[in-house]
Amino acid sequence: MSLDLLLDLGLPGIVFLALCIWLVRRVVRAALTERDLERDRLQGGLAEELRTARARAQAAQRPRPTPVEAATPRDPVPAADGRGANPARSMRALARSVPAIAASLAVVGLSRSVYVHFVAERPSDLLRPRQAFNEELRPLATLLPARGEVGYVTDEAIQSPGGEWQGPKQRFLQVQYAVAPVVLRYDEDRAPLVLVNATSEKSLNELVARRGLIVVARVTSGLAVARPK
Amino acid sequence: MNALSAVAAIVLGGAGLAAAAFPERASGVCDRVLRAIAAVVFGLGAWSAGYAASLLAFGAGESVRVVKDLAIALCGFALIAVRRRPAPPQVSGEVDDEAPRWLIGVFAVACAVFCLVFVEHSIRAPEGGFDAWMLWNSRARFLARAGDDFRVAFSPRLLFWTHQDYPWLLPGLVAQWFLITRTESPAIPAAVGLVFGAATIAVVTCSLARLRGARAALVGGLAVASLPCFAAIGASQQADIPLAAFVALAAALVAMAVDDRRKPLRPLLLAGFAAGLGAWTKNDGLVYLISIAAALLLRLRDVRAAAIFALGSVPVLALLCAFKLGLSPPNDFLLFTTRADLVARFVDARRWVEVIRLTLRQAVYFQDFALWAAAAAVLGVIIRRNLRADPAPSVLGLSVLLALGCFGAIYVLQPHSLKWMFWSSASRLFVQMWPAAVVALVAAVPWKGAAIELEDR
Repeated sequence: MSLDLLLDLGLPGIVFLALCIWLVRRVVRAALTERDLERDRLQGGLAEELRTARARAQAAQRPRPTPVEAATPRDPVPAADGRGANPARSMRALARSVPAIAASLAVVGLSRSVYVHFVAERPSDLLRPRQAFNEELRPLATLLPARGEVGYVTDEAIQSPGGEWQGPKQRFLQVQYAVAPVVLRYDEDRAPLVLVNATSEKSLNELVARRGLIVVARVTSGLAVARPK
Repeated sequence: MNALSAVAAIVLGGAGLAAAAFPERASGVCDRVLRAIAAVVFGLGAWSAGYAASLLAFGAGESVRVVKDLAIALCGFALIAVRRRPAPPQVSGEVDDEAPRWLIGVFAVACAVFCLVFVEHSIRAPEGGFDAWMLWNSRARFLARAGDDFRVAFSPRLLFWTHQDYPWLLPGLVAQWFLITRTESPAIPAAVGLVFGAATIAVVTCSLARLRGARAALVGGLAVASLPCFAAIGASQQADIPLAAFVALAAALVAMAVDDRRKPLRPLLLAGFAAGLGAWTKNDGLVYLISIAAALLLRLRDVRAAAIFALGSVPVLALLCAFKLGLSPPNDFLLFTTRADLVARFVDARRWVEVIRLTLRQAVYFQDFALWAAAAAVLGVIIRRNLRADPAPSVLGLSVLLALGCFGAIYVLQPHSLKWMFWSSASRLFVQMWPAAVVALVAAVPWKGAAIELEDR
């Protein structure tokens, strides 16, 4: 198992477990507190006095029969508006916990970002950024017309929909990006100018010969501008 | 003149639209920041949409662009001039709380890491990610370099992998700055990505501050800023982060309009406009636009609200129709699909099962989402009753679910390899809808005594 995989799965797993334990602990503590409060409600020094007073009050306030007016229709009671109501205790506890949980999740996410961008990818490379592919392809601009269409042939065919190998497509689109607004005509070898993009110099020479082309200029290794014989 | 008129169009156009969206006086610092950010997002979107409209109608002349800029600036100025300034609204869930300092600290660290990752990624990959140079920046180059021949950017003679049918809000923005600065510096698309990324975090944070208070705001902001793939996708100069910003703004405006007891219509109108700009950013944006309109209709049973929202998107949808019908760019979905293929894919149960399996796997895809997606799913289950009962989160939550369902169906029906298509796009789809989902989920948490639903009812 590679270190990357271990870090990717192990560290979040530990944090996730810790979060679960922390949450379960909070729930258990809340439940215990609730039980204690319920148990102690009628205990202690004042409990007996409270019970006696409550019994006396109930006896004194027992209702006597009195005549009442006939019921009259009133205005309908307005519909209950729950917007001001307090949410249940469990929901309030959740709302209190959300910032801490979110902060924990953020720490996990930020750790992942920092690890990928500043540890796995060497920070020293930032001081020596690689050359943009656009720079490598810049000479093409002087070899091709400013507008119009140019043929494009390659030794590695771009797969039709359903295929998963993206390399040839990526190379084609990098060249298209570099030469815009010239339109590259894929697999067209009879245009006045044809770009030949091959995986090696040897393949390029074979491709040029097979397609009946003559190399006009070489741009980079495996990339050349050609024309039909 | 060119740069000045561009800045005037973005600032005044955006400020005018923001003034229309928030007609009342600002109620605090967060509210002011929210308006400023909304102005930036609206301004950039309107400026790019105006560029596309003027290009299609009058060509690529520099004078056309300047006149277009002045027209946008004047419209924005007029919107600011005619606004009324009523008192700030009393939103139902308004909570006047204070956030703990440690939470503010974590949020500040998250924002700092977001910026650092952005800079790091931009140095390592100055051309951006795969889609950036394959589609967005490539199209920007076509538009900037081709002049009046700009239609070649959408030519059927290009290979279909250049996705000529994709809308061009982002290329329009980048191309205009290429033309104004007379360079094609990769710093331009990177800066655009940074602005939209930061705006998305700010929209989520400030809208939640207005809706549910400071703690909710920081939780929402953290959820977006510390999502590992958020900064990386933004720095990759892809259109998904601008789309996320428009969807987040639309979601925030819808939530505020629904939460406001006065049921104002203008925020809904501008929410529709923001969602329309999302549709002009990527085809996926249409899914969010339809999902939000459908959620308004289904959850609130309010035809007027849904109609006003849809009305707001009409100007941008008209532009989209003019592009799709006028230039008829080829679409790979249609190019490789017959009716028989569609039916065959639709009735293939294995594809549906595969999409569900891949989605479940994606929810715990630590590399991109850390534990956020799984945590959001768990929170959604715990507060499901609040999510259903509280109107604003309910509308947003349903719209996200509808969008998820639509994308699931699109995955099943599309002609490419299902596994490849899913793995190459699912994280970006997640990022597009994540800010709106965060607003929905965080707003549904009963931060104080403001929630509608009682869990134990």
